[in-house]
Amino acid sequence: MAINVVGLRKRIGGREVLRDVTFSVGAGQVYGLVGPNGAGKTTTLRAVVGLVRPDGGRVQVLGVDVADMRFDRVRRDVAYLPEEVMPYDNLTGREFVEFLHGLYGRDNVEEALEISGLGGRAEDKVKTYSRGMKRRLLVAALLALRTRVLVLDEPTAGVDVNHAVALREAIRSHVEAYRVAVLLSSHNMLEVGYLCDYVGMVSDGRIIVEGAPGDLEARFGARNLEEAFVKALRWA
Amino acid sequence: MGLTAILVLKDVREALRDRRVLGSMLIPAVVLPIIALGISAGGGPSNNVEGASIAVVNMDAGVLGSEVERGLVRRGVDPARGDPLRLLDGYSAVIYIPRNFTEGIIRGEGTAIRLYVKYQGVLAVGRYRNVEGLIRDVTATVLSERVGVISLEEALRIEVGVLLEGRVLGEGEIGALIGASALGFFMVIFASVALSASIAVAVGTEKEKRMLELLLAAPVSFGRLIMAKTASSIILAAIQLGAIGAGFWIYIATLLPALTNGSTGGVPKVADSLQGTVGALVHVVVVTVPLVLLTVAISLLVALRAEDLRTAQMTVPNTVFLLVFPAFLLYFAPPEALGNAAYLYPYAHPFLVPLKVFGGDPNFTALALALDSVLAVLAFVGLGRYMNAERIIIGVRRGRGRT
Repeated sequence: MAINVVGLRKRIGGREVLRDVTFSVGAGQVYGLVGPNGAGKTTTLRAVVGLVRPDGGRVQVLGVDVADMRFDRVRRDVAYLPEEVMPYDNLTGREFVEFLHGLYGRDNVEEALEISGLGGRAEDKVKTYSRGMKRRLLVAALLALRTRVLVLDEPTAGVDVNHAVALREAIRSHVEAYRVAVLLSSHNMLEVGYLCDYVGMVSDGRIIVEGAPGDLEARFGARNLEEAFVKALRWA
Repeated sequence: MGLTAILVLKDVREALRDRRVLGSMLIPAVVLPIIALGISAGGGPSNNVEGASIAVVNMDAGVLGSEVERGLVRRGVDPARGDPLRLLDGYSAVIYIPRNFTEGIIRGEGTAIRLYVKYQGVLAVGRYRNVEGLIRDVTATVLSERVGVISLEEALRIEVGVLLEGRVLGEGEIGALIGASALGFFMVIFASVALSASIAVAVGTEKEKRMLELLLAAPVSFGRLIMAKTASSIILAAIQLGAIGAGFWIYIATLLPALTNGSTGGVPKVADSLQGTVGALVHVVVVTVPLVLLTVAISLLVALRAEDLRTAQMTVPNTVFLLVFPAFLLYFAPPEALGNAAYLYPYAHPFLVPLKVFGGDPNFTALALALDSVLAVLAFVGLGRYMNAERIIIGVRRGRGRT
């Protein structure tokens, strides 16, 4: 398994925000975490990339425990997109991709710019971009890193419908082409249904139910994932 | 290119392309010389020594010395006898008319009057210029009445001796002291403020853009990030200091002489003072290095707690300003007013070190360097122990952050 989380627990500010979270993501799989605000999705993603230290349980990425010193060597194969991140205003789109790829020791800049769909605007300063364009640039830059693990927090938040569809297709084809393990969180059930092989529904710091999107719909007798999610919350 | 170089290049490029950052860097370069010009314009040549306690010791056997003494006494100077340096215990300045004063004038060889003053801080330096003016004024009157019109410039030299911690410094040495001390003060104040502003921008931008989270998840360790931020902030602060230095150079080399007809009057001769001894300047630079690192560590600690750029830009320079504020008071204070505690205050070291060097105690530099280095190391150790990715991103203490 590329990502293996077992019994993850975390307290923040005296509150237990993660309780026995367990799931795994294999190579070439997309695992989606869905849940209400404050459910613990972002903390789980942060724990997987080693930004948050677990108070209990174990998080392994590419076979290495994130608390282990050796995890620093694994970081070159893990890319993380935080939810509200924005690229630097005074760099051009191309310079930003060059910067990010430089940190990972990669040089797939042209591929990133192609995925981003920015065209000639890649030579303009980021501050002239719309919010959606900035998000496209970020997702594309991370995809083109071709890391073995990709952790995405709300990957298409703020992106218009046309470009959101294009980005989802890019993520999906990227997963299939390079057998990347993707862990994402999203409020967009359409996106989760399209992208994810498995979905974990999170509430109050625990995964209340998980499975393939179709299985979850069938289990809760729902017409779509959104309805299944609402019913799962009531059931929990 | 290494990771640190990539991060530094990005920071510098990002900052130098931002008009607001550029403006905040260049404005002091224009404003500070204008302020200095205003201050110097208000301190023109003067013979006014009102309120100063001055004694005159006349050792001249001839009539001219007595005439000059009488002229000075009429202008409020006390006649006195004895060792002029001892008289400085009770007087702020002592005018010493030497034994051969009249003889030197009569023979046309010229003569010297010695002026002894006690070093009372940088603000007091201008005062002895006023006493010099008084001596020239009185001597010119006496010579024109008794000897006829002669060139005072050829007939009279005034040799200034400044008493500092038991040593008498000549005018060259006091110029070097003032220059080195001013450089130390300049470095402490402007380097600290410029550094803190640079760090506020460098870290505040990352926080505002939420890029720290992405960077810390990337193959960039916290230590490397701190190293890169330190380097880029020092580079940006150096650019700003360079701009300010250029502004001052224009002020000193062009504007000031033009506006004062080549004379700086009662103002210490800044340009001359800057040509201070290399030795003293080395002492200043050496003790400033750990202070720069101390400022960086403190600024980083505050900046990393800020949520966004604006907060960082407000809190970081303000915190650093509070730390360096006592330096303003100590720099302008007379040496006798400085208690021992003042010598333990790190941000005073760059301008106190020249005082000790010229006062005959160069070992103080080593003491200051050791103390400041320990503080800088402790600050970085504290930063490393207190700050980590988790604290930076979710602020554990306050229990903030998305879950």
